[in-house]
Amino acid sequence: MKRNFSASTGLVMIATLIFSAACKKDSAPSIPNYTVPTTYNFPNADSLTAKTFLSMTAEIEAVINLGNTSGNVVSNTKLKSMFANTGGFFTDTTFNSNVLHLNTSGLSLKSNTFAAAQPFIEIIMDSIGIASATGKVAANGQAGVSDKKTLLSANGIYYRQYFTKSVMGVLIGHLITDVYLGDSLNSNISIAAKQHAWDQAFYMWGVPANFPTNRVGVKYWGSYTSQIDSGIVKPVVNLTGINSNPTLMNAFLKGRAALANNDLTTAKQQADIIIPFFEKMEAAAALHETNEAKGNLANGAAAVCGNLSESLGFWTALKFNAHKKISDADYAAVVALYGTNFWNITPAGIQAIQDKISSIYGWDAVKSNL
Amino acid sequence: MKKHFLIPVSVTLVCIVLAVACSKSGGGGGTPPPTGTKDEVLVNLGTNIILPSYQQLSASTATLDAAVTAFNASPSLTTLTAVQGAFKDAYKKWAACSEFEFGPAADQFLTTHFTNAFPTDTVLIKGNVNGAVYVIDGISNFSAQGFPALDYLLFAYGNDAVIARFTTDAHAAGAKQYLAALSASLKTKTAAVTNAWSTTGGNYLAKFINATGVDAGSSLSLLLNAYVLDFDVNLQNYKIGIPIGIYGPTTLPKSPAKVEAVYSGLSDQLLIAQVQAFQNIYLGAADKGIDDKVAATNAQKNGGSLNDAIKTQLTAVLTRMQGLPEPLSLGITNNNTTINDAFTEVRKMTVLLKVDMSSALGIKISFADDDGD
Repeated sequence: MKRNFSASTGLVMIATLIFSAACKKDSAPSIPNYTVPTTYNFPNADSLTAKTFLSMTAEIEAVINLGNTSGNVVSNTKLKSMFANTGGFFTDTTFNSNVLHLNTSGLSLKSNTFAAAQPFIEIIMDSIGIASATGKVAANGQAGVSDKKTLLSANGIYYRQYFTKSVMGVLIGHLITDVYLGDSLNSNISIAAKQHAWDQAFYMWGVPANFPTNRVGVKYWGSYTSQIDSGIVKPVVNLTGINSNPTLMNAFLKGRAALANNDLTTAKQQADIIIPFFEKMEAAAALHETNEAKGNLANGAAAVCGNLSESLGFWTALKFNAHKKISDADYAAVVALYGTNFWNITPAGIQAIQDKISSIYGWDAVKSNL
Repeated sequence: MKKHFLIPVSVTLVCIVLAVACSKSGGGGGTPPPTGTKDEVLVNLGTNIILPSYQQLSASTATLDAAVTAFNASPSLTTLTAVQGAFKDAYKKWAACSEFEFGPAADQFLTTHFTNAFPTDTVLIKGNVNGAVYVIDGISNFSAQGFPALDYLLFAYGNDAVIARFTTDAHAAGAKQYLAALSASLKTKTAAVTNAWSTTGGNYLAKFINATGVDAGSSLSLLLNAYVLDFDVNLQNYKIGIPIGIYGPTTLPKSPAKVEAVYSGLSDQLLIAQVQAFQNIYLGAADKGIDDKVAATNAQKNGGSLNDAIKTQLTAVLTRMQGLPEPLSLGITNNNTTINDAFTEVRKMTVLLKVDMSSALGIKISFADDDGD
């Protein structure tokens, strides 16, 4: 798919800068000689568009969260307006002393969401409006607010988490893979514009420049790449999962250093590591949440419904992943295992989801660590 | 379509001094797995206590399920008495297995949460009996399944009421179906766990015996974590503390209806069976047990050996359990002081197991409850 990147004035300006010469070593031109830094500190790195998208997502989540308190009716119209950035519902935020004017940013989450998934996200928003208006206590077959303060559908889907985990694929994952690392590298925009696209991709990951040494403030995938490596609560010392943190960090650093040195070939090689890796991350995160669900069994059905909703959200994200390699049959087999009502799923049924995902991706040796 | 976009920033032509790229470190791979002779304690506990306990539980739940089938076919005082007897036997067998909630039991979800959550949810049970759509092992049905649900259906309000529930009641067919689903679930899960331990099945026994040492993940660590949790949380807090109104430092309203097996009045016998199981595991029955490991540490307690202190306290707790009033719920209602005295001994036992024993053996107790002990 082709989207994006017209040459804005700013880009033209950047494109005219002579960028690479100063940093190049004087070796053979065919083999650029440069060092790759260990942190994402590049002199012209730009994170503001990514921060704008992530801030908008967080503000929509905050509105959805209001529905987790009984009596609060969440307007589906407002949610959809925020999704399309109309109506001026966002609050400006500040990042690194830059004020992010969300409402007037000209950026819309909806138009940057994978096209086929846009109506899907809006359906979730409509459902939130209806469920929050019931005023009921959530129960098997009854939408409402659960004893865990979560707004659940009649069949146990915790909407806020289902929204977030789906968005991590259809918006965040899509922008990183299809747009910033896909289209931008393969378009004829300037190398400086490619660098900035790469920067947005990195910051959409939701990690700080010195990740994973520093994991303060990680969000969305920035949190989950650690969770599926070895769990979020312990230091990432011994990687026991799918090694997402080093895989992504190394590739992002190497690719950005390559772009800084006009080495498009290496940058594309690194993009080719990151882009297909999102399928693994989505599947591993879906599996991870089945472990969370198992661990939450003693805390009651509503808690388990929450974890399963996260799991299903990740699995739904995978559905809209344009680069997935999983067969349609395997994908559908896992969907079937989620069933039609989380309230009635059995522990063995949760295990079956985990076992199927693990068997598809060959993770039997690490599935209990994911 | 709106374009996402790159906010232009000024670019300074500064050649930065790039940090040295990360290099691959050589070697690694960790320490080799421990080798050496078998841990005779694990061999004995696995072979002569844990596996046989599950075999007995599995056999008893199969007997229970058959008795339920006979009762459902022809509900009468005779068939009811038979199924009640089978229930009591199976429940006591469970008291000798609740200490092993790791490995196959965790994998098959044959856990206290699904097997012995009390007080049972009688509203949910009645709803299911009356025609609600349910999945017996569903995550929203845990409080309406297992032994406590059977306890309710088979004993609540006397034999006449029970027989009426399964004969003349408008929802008798639903009651039969639910009763059958409850016993079938227990039978299936206990058979699966037994098979998973068995040398002719999943042979977890071999894995159990081979996972020596005291690290997290070692069999001794898994076993003692489950053992201490069962004593601290299930026996101390749920079976006695909460019914008598004590939870850690907190005083609660007395709740005699919250005892285990409140309808059958089997509470005392289950407590005795469970403490006997704790004792049996600690002593390794007639062979090598936890006691040998504790004795080998030469750990001391109050001027004597820690091992002796634990053995003495286990005996004291058992004696107290044998002296409890029957039924326990009535004793609580009547403020019978022997229950509080027994609870005091139970708490001493918990500290000995959770603090002294675990630290002497170098086992990290990783579960957390919030009762302050």
